[in-house]
Amino acid sequence: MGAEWLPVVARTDGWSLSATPEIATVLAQSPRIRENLTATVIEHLSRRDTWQHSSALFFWQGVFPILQEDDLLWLMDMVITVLRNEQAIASSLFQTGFRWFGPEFFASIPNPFLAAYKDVPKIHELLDIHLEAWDLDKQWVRKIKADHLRSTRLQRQIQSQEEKQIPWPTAVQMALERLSTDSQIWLFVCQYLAYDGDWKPSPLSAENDMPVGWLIIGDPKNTCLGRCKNIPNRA
Amino acid sequence: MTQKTLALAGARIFLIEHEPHVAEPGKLTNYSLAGYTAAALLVGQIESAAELAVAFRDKWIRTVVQHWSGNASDTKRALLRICRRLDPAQTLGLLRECILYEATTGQGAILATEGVEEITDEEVLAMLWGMYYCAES
Repeated sequence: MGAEWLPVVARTDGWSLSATPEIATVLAQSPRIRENLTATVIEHLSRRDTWQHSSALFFWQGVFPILQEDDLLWLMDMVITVLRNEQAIASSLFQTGFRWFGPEFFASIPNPFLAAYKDVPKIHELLDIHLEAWDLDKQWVRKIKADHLRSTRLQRQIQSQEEKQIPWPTAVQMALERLSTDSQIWLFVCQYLAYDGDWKPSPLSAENDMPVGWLIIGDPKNTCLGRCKNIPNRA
Repeated sequence: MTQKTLALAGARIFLIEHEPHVAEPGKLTNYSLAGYTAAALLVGQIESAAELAVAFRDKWIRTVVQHWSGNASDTKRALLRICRRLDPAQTLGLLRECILYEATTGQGAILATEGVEEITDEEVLAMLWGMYYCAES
């Protein structure tokens, strides 16, 4: 599993992987390499006696910045079948998935995984916070919740496709225009600013917490020339 | 009016009109995330605008203290300094709560303490680190 990465991981313990621009650039474009590298790092860490604080910290700062949403889902599957210390690792993955991708991350988690880990305290807590209206502990609402998540996911997929058919600068401009009369639109502006100008998600800059889209808006080449009457509404 | 001007105006109103819906350590919401982004963009304007300063002091200090920002970004450090100036008692109380939470149930106190050195008194910092070592051991 990613044997070619073992010398790199062993030498650097992974700390500099996401912070080295040349490596980060290659990884951003290479899902297969990300998978191999991450699997190697996890295997390397899981050989330790316990999943300690230093391992979690390493995960947060050394490995997660290079991952993308699909990587996290893939990781979850792997965690179930391969690793020791899986609950702690799964908990970290859950938190990271949520922090990066919001509550809808839960909707994209395979049901068997959710069922297997919902009793892990940290995961249970996150689910309670963000899906409390659907109270996972009550049998009678599970179907409602599942139906809701399915329809929401479908709706968001459709909306996302619709949104992404609109050029990013146009979508931002429309949201900013609505923002002057409805401050709640800031929630959507923030989401849009997490993209790099071409609907490609990018994490926050580690140096200054500024969403990458903030660096782009106002640039003349990204100015919205067209106007649409409505931006897609979200549930 | 530029896009950045529109965005900053919207961010300012968002902070004034809304709240993070977070009342406990370790929690976050889409509102708290959006609020932190708004505060980060407005970091140079918060203290000079009375209405914004009041809203920030009354509603958003917890959001800043609890925000996970990787490696204690310059923005988070600046926001923490503003929190300290606007309401030192609340800020230090929340820091204490956040560090204890992270040290015992979260991802580790070291994450919570990143960046706080600049805004804490020596005595408070010693107390926080003492709490950290107790919790970690």
